Amino acid sequence: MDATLREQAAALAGGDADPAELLDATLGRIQDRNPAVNAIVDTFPEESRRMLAEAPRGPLFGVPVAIKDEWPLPWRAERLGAAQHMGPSPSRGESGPYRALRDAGAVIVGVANMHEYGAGSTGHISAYGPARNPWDTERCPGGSSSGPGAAFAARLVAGAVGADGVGSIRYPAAYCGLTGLKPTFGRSTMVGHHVAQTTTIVSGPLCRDAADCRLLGGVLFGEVLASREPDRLRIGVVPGELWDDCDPEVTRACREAVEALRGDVGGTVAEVDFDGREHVLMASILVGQTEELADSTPKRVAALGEEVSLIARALLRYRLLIPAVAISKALRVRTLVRRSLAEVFEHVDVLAWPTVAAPAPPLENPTVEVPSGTYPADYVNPRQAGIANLAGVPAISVPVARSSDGLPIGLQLLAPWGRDELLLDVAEALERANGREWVDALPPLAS
Amino acid sequence: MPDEGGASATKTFVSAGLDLLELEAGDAELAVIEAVDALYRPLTQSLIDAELDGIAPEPGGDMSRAPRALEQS
Repeated sequence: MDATLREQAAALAGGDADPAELLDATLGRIQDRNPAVNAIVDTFPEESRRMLAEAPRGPLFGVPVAIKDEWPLPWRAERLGAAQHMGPSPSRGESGPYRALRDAGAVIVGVANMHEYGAGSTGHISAYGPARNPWDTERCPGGSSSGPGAAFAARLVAGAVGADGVGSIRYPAAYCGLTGLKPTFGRSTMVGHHVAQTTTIVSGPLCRDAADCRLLGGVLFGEVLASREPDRLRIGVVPGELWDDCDPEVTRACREAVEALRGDVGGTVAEVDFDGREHVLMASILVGQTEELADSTPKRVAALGEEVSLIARALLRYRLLIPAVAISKALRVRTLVRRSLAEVFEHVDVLAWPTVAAPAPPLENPTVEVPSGTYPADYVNPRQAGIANLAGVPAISVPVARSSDGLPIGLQLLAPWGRDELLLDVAEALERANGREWVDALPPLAS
Repeated sequence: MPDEGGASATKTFVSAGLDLLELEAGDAELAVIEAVDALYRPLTQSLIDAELDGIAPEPGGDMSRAPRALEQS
């Protein structure tokens, strides 16, 4: 059960493991271990067994996986981690990720928790109660894909499907010490997502390492993601707050990781910059949030009861007051950033900076200390992650260290549009450079 | 953080905006909105104030691809 996704798949394909026994063992582990992390909010053994009985001999034949509460399933509508839905009621159905998993032979073993409405980077608010970080259950697991991150880190499953609109796969990957891929926009299936008009959100994998993300990501992409050895890699680092306004431990660990990577691939590191950086945080939030505004009306917001969190009720009101000129400017910043990034990627192969500015904050007080001050994690995190969603480029978070408090630290890498495979190649090189120390590390709860 | 005048302007903006929308908010909700606004208002204002005139538009922008070359726009 602690094997990687690809090891489980290989054992099942080769007849060295029994898929029904693996499913039962996984359900048993969820029952035993999930109460400590609240990562899985729903299981449905009969539906899982039916999936297994009908599973084709695909690349994930018989492998149990979890899926975020953001995707409809034929037997369950998504709830978005919220007690009350705003807008058209969700309905059961065959979402793209469901179909992709089914057609690959995978078995969906549970629905994973998420930050309420997907509107947070911490996972500390959910109608199901917060998911908890397996490295320290009093800490945030990251959001909004909090359940997928915590579920893998606690080794309830070997892989999970999340979604990333402003960093929502990469935050839990960094906080929980796993590998999370935010694919190029449009490359992974988004069929059935409640924000049908999105230009920022993508589905993506959260797994132990890059090879597992390659396997699960390939299923979501509907294609095999080839690998090759990165050679003479040109790594770009961006001066300023992306590196400097971080917890010093994070900055140091990520710099060491970049240097280890450079050494492994025989590459170079160069400082580069892109235009519009000062507006990326606000532009990525505004573009992401306003894509959902079409479903919002004052009447619907007013109808949200107290079972919806105070924060959500307040934020949904606040969103109705966003000046149109700010949204228009945000879209122009998007154009500026995309053009500038395209120019930057003529000179470097990947960009690198810390995935999050500080390790996982406490659930009771999700604020982080960085050199410029103490802020809500939700305020600082989009600065690090939002650009990939704003521009559409792929990004990956790779575990590279642990803090003095024993919490995981993640390095983020970004690549040009469509170069998701390169990111996976580079992440594998980084794992190798670190002797796989961080990808194979187990939290105490899973040891 | 905004100064006292800024905080007062925020209160007025939020209250008037919600009134126009005929949307009620309790004291707790207003307190959250004001705290959020204190954080994000300077960034929003900076964006509103930004002169972004020289940026060529990207008609039919496709987020799955690199933008068209500058000379083509």
